[in-house]
Amino acid sequence: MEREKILEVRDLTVNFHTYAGIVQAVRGVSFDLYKGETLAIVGESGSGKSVTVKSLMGLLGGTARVEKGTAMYQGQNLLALDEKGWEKIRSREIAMIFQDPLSSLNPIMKIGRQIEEIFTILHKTSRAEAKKRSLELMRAVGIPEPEKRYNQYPFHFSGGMRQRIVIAIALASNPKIMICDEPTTALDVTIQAQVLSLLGEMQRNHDLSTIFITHDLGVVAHVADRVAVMYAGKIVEYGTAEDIFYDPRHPYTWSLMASMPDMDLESGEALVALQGTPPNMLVPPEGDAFAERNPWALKLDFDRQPPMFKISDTHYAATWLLHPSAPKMQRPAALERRIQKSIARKEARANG
Amino acid sequence: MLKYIIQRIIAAFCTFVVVVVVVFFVLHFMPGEILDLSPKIDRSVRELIMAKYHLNEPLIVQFGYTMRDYLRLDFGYSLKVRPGVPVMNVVLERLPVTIQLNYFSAIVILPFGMIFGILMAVKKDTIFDHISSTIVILLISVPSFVLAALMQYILGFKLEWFPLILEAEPHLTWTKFYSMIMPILALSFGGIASIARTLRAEMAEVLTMDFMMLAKAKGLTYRQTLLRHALRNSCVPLASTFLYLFLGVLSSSLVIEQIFGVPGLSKTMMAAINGHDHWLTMGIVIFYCFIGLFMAILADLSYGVVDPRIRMGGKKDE
Amino acid sequence: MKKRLTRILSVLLIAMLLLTACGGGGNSGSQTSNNQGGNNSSTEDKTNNGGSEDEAPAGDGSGETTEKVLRITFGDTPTTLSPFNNASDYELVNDIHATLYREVYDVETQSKAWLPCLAEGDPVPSDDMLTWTVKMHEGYTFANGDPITANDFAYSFKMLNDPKLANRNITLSDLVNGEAYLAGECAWEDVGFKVLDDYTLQFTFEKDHEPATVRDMRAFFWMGTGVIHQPTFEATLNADGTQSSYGSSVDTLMSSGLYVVTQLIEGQSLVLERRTDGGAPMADIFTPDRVEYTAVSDPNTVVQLFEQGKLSYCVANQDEYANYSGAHFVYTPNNYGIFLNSRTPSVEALKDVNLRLALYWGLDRDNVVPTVYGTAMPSAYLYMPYATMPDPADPDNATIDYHSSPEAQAIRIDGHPATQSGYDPELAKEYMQKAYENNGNQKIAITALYSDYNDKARTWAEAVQSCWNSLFDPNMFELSLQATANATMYEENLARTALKYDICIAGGWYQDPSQAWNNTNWVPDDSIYAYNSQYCIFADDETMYKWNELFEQNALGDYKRNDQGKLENAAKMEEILYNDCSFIPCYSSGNRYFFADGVRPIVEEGDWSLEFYRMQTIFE
Repeated sequence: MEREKILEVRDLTVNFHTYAGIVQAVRGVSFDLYKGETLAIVGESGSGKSVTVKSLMGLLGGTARVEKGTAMYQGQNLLALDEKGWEKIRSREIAMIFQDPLSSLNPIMKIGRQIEEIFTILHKTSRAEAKKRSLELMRAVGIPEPEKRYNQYPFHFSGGMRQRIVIAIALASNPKIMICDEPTTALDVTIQAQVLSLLGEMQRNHDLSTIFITHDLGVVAHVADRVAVMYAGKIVEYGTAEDIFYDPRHPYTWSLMASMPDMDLESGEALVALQGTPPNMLVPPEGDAFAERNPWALKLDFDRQPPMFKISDTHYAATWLLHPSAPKMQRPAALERRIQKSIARKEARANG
Repeated sequence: MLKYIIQRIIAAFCTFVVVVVVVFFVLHFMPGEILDLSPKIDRSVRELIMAKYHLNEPLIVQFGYTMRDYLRLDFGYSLKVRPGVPVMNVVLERLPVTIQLNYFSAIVILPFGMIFGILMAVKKDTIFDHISSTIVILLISVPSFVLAALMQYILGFKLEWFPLILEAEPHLTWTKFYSMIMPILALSFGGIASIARTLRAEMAEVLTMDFMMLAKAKGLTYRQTLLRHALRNSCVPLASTFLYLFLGVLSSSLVIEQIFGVPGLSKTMMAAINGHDHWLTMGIVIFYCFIGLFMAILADLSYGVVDPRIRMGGKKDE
Repeated sequence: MKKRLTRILSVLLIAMLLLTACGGGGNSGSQTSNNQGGNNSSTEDKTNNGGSEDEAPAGDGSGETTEKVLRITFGDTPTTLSPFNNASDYELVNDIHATLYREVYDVETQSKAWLPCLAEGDPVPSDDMLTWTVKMHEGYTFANGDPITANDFAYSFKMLNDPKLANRNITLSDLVNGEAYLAGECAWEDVGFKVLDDYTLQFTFEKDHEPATVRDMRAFFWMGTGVIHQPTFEATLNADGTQSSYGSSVDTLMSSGLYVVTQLIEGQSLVLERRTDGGAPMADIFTPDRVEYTAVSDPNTVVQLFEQGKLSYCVANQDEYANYSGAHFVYTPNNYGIFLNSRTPSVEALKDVNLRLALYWGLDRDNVVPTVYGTAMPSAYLYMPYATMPDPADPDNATIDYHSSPEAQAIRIDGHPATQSGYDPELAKEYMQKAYENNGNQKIAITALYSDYNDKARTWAEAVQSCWNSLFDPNMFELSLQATANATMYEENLARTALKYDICIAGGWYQDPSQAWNNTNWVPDDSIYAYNSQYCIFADDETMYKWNELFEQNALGDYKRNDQGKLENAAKMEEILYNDCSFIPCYSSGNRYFFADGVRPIVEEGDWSLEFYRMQTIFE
């Protein structure tokens, strides 16, 4: 079944022009977002995932510059927009939820005002109408006693409650696309689940297409329809959630999964932590950026960047291991076992 | 909040007492005689005057007399600068023009300082920012009296756009205000520069904060995010800067008063100190101290007005 | 948000209005009283359009003539206009408060003289000169029309000397029982002062404190004895009669002189207007119809105002005006120079008068002084160059130039005549050679103190240093400099009780040019009137006693009425000072004046105390 593409990103390249030189943050990223689906972008900090989505809202500040690429949304290239153009897109078409609810609300402005101003300023409604709708929104995102909360300040709110407010703000203009930039990272685990389910609920109710940024594969498993794994400014593996979780092909994806704690972990079995640090993107390596840290690296990896190899219609990965003439490498045994267990569990669920 | 205010007032009062005591002793330990009568004057006359003002008694006794009078809110009489005039009257007769001048310069400082500060923050690291920053540093480091003298020479003397000195009129008329423009400007430059500098730094920081991005993501225009979100957050430290600046201007305009012939309080204060008119000096210091502490309390409270986190004492009710 | 903004703005606006209102209120005192002058509106107009003097005055009686307006600056408005407590604005206070005699420029004798003001004729002494009778002129009035009688003078004189008020200008000590009254030991009635009738006063002096001449008796009525108006004064007394704010504003004074105060903006301006009611004294001597004083303390501002035509005259001491023509000078009666401490424990060589004389003769004042102090007058005289003495032929009315008198000409400094330049490099080197030999052929190295008061003080010290160091052989003499705080220098280094210096290149003392031998800094010290005893001391006691004897003779003793003897003594005293050489005179400070077109000073060179007799300025 081919779903409707709502956003089509091609060859997105973003550089930071710093005093030290040009930092290549995003290097030719391409992906599609389908209507009603959730695309998860997974990667370590500094892999360029946040920069990727910020460039989709024109929120790149200061020294960052989109060098090339397109992002087609409803027939227009977002990346070619000027500030005026962006003002029409932001909030109305694409909304964003930020990582840290502690700092993403204006600390000295009443909560109600921060929601309300979207109605009064963007949609030019009356104050009364704006307040009514703000209260509705607050209720919808599960804020108890919204009338009282309306006149309070962010510091009166807990982290989870603040994130709910941020979600309410994001939803206020009925956007088509919602970008969640690590929305649960800063929250307690119990609150994480509440916020995630709220997000899911809102997505269903508002028919949103979502880009979900996280470094936590566990979260991805819960929310994603499709997954893009990013490393050093590139997508290294791209596929449906099933593709990624049940048949990961890129060694980096393997490493990520091996370092993810879950119930399939056997007692006494150590998590395998990825060694080393991501490369310095001021001087990106000539070959595969992951080669330095890759236990399965081929000599070729150090010399040439691998192209995207197609595995199936939905599944792609950029590693020389997929080259027909590459030696056949097996996934690490422990990981393989965990994958098999979860496949078995899934089938058991499917069979009732 | 009430408790906070009371705490502040008690602390201010203690400071006040300490200042009064310290100033009293510093003044009396200053070299030089209080009575600068000619040495030729007869001993009897000298002693008569000494006795009248308790000058022949030990300092600690003099201190006692002074404090007793202060407790009765009696600030005494000026001895030399305005002989026979109650100290508070001296302060009050010089105050209006000092306040007018400072008030007007505050009115100039605030908007211009803010506009420059905002522009510099918004255009950070552009050529505009670099030029303005240079000017700001220049204005901060060049003493105001140099600017004042330059302005007087060029605008007043050469171009004859403004009168050289303050017009001698009992009331604030248009002519008098017009003649005030140069001193006001001279007083304002430093203030504009320091407000602009503070605001630039503060605003540049605020602009990088997450909530600014959220404000942008909300769909607000750049100008709206600046005015509605960035400005007020940047103003938290500005409130106190401004109040202290005002106090600084109030007390540091001596040279400007001299250059433009303004009958301000600084001139009287200098005359009182140089002339060993200790009662008057004390009165003026007490007055400044009072204003200063009042401003400090006001500054503390102003944080509360601007920033609800301080106003509500950081209470969380969840 | 908008609402809040409007709220803030309105608060600001209200505050502004309040302040402006309160600003007006604070000054309202001077406003109401403005109307006293009568032609208030014309005053304001004049102030605004600066230089236009050809406009006919509105309210003056003299409709046809041009109004003579004197526009001048002062550092600040007077501390008070009360004659009892003002310490500096003598002329100004007396323009408003008439005294019995007033010191002015006498056109007839072409000299400074005390002329009758409220008095009629000269004071008349008794045979023993202890009791003096002064007749007052009938018909003078206060500005409000109340007649001025002997009782008004008596009330003023009593208030001036009131022990409760303890005014700084108390003038009673020389009268019989004056001291006793001040000490609370007798009643006012016992004091040597009586009102004989409505227009006659009598003063009785203690023996040895009586005026020596009629001139001295006239001078007894200095500023402090200005006549005040009883009801006005009483209104300014506080409850217990210990303080009076008389003269602090237009409302708190009443004119007994030729001028009334029509505007006084504290710290800013003062306007005097001439009385036209005919009841004021000295109307034929003083010229201006109005005097406008503006308080400006910055010297550059003053000159700029003058150049814009807003002042009748100004002081311009800045170097850049040195070559302008038409300058007039006033030299202050002070004698700045260099103190040599002949009793210092640290430099043995200073005990040797040869070294001191070498330094005296080795200073090229005529070249060094002008490069540092452009408007000062270089002088090596111990008594200032324009010192005068009473003319022995007519001591009441005439003076002679001291330095050209035969007595002064006869003075010898170790055999050499005294000159104003006082520079003789060869002589200086000779003395230095002797001093060097007396020092055991050791190099004489001395550190001199100077005040860090300002740049000029440092430049001056450096100029003196370079002058001496370049003249004398560096193997014999070397001077180094050390700065010290001006505030403490006089008390901690120079004071007679401290004397902690070897050489001090700063300071000096004031002299009264009419009795230069009697410099104002002397204080009795163990009953010895040591010369300039505050700051330095004679090299040996014998000289000191000799000098003191002469001084007492002149000041207190037999020579009081012997002007020839006084002149001889004065010269002997100066000779002693020269030969002791503990102080090296260098210059008298001076001011450079410029006058605007249309006004001319009555004298070409100014007088030390009355400058250019500003109230006698000639309008053309």
